[in-house]
Amino acid sequence: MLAACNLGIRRGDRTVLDRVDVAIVPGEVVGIVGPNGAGKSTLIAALAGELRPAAGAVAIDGTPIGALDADARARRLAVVPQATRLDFAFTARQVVELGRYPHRGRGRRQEDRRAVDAALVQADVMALAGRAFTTLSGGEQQRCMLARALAQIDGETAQARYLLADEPTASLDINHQASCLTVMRALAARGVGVLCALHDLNLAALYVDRLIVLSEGRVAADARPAEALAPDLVRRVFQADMLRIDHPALGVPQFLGLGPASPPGAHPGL
Amino acid sequence: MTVALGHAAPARRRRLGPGALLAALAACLVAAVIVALGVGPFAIAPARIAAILQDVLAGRAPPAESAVDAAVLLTIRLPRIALAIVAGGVLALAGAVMQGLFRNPLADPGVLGVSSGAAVGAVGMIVLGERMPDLLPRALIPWLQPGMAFLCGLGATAFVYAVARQAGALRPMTMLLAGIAVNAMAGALTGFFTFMSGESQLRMITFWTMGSLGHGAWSAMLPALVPLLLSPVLLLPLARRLDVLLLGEREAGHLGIDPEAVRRRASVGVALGVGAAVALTGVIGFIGIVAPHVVRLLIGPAHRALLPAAALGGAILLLVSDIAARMVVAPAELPIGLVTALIGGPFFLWLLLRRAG
Repeated sequence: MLAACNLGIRRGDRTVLDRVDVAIVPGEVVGIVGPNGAGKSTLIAALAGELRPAAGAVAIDGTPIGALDADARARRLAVVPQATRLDFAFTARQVVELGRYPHRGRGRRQEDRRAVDAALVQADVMALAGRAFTTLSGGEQQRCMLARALAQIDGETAQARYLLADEPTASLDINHQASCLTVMRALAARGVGVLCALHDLNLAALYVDRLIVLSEGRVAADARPAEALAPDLVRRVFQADMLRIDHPALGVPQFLGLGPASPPGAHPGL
Repeated sequence: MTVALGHAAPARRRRLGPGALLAALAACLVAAVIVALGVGPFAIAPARIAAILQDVLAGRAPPAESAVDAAVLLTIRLPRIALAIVAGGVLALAGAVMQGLFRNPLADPGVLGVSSGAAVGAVGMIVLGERMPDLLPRALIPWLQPGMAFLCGLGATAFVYAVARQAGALRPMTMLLAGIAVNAMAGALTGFFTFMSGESQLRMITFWTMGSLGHGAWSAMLPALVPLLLSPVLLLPLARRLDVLLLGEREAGHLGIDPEAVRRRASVGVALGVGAAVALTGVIGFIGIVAPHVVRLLIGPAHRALLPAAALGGAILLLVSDIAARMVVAPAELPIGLVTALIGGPFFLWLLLRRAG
């Protein structure tokens, strides 16, 4: 279990996260949603062990994250960043191979190669493997970074593994948004604990087991999508009127936009 | 800040294999050494070079009729060639490392102040040195200038490092800005010494700031070999970590790398190598940018092949530049810095135009 307990993060004198308790269990896909500035990226950075908490702690399976050997941690916990700037013309395959860095000196080259090939296929970038990363579109780069993260946690079988993704679908087309989250589900099916920051409530409701709603640095809800996305909470947190319907085929909640928040009663039909 | 010339590699063209490039570069270097041994205002026939080298390797004294040739070869040309190879190699290696460290294909080995610091030391000794020989044992005098250059180069880098550290984390941008400030201050100090200098000192300063391999004597090189060889020992093993750092600070951290530790070790390696090279040769520009660039265009940016290939490329470039410097206005010679700038300037323009077109 990757867990943050009573986590507080401050940047300067601003409290970005306040008394946050979250946990990711191996085998589940957890989504984080929340308006801009709610602390989604900060939570991911904190769970990755990048930040020094002002209060509370982050632990992987009971071990404080800072106490783990850096390579051992990297083999168990990978992060897909929001965007990557790379000015040097690595091929897509070379970028994915960088994910094998924490595995250096362990096992054989074939094992690295197999992991890289598998990751390229899963993230649907095998066709781009020989292209220079710098010539890829934003979405293609994003999928490459997903593949890199997949290669990074491939092979550690004895212990639980985790993948944190900060808006991995941000620059993807509809097809690749769906396949990105399908990859997350497949990872979870193989026992990886996945945490994804997402902007699209509908996408989140379709793919995640559990949804954490962040609002101003606090956890406003942490439950299955149907319960977490209660209409009044969505309205309050996102400052937007949304028409909530149930997905006709899948039963999960879906939201239709109605424009900016307006005084109660403005949409009498709801 | 970043002018991304590194994009230039085309999308699908097959790159050269790293092994093939290293072999080709090694062959070029051997060829350049053979040419450099023979040519000069005092030409020596290849057959005679071979005979002399054979004699030396076998421990025999060369026959009397080639005694002069042997003296030129062994005490002038060979140390000069060795200096060109070591200095060119270290400058290019340091350039490649700095470009990776700062994720900027235009960074040069001097970004952390080592070259300008060394210039302060060398020029300072040229100007002030005359006033102090009475205080020092005679045997030390030949070491004063390179020694001070080396120490001031290290000092400038240490200062940049300390300032960047003080300003918060050891972030690349802070280091770069601190480097710019220290380079400017060192430039002012060098200018001040130049302003104070007399006629003959001015001439020496001019020569020093344009670079020369003419001071390559075995006795001067031996102590410098320690930092010059320590530098690749520190830098070459960083290759894979530099690859990962190109993804960014945070990403490297996620992959288990401590970016500060990499920067610390790289700074020490670069300061030792470049400091020693500059102390022996004076300021030689462009090698540290041109050689890594060409290699990157040929085999891509992965540092495991890039670092050794750039070092070989830098060695070849400096050796060939030196051959040109000795030949063009023989029996006089051009300052080597002019030749490398003459090669480097147009090369840069070509890169820019290629990118624009």
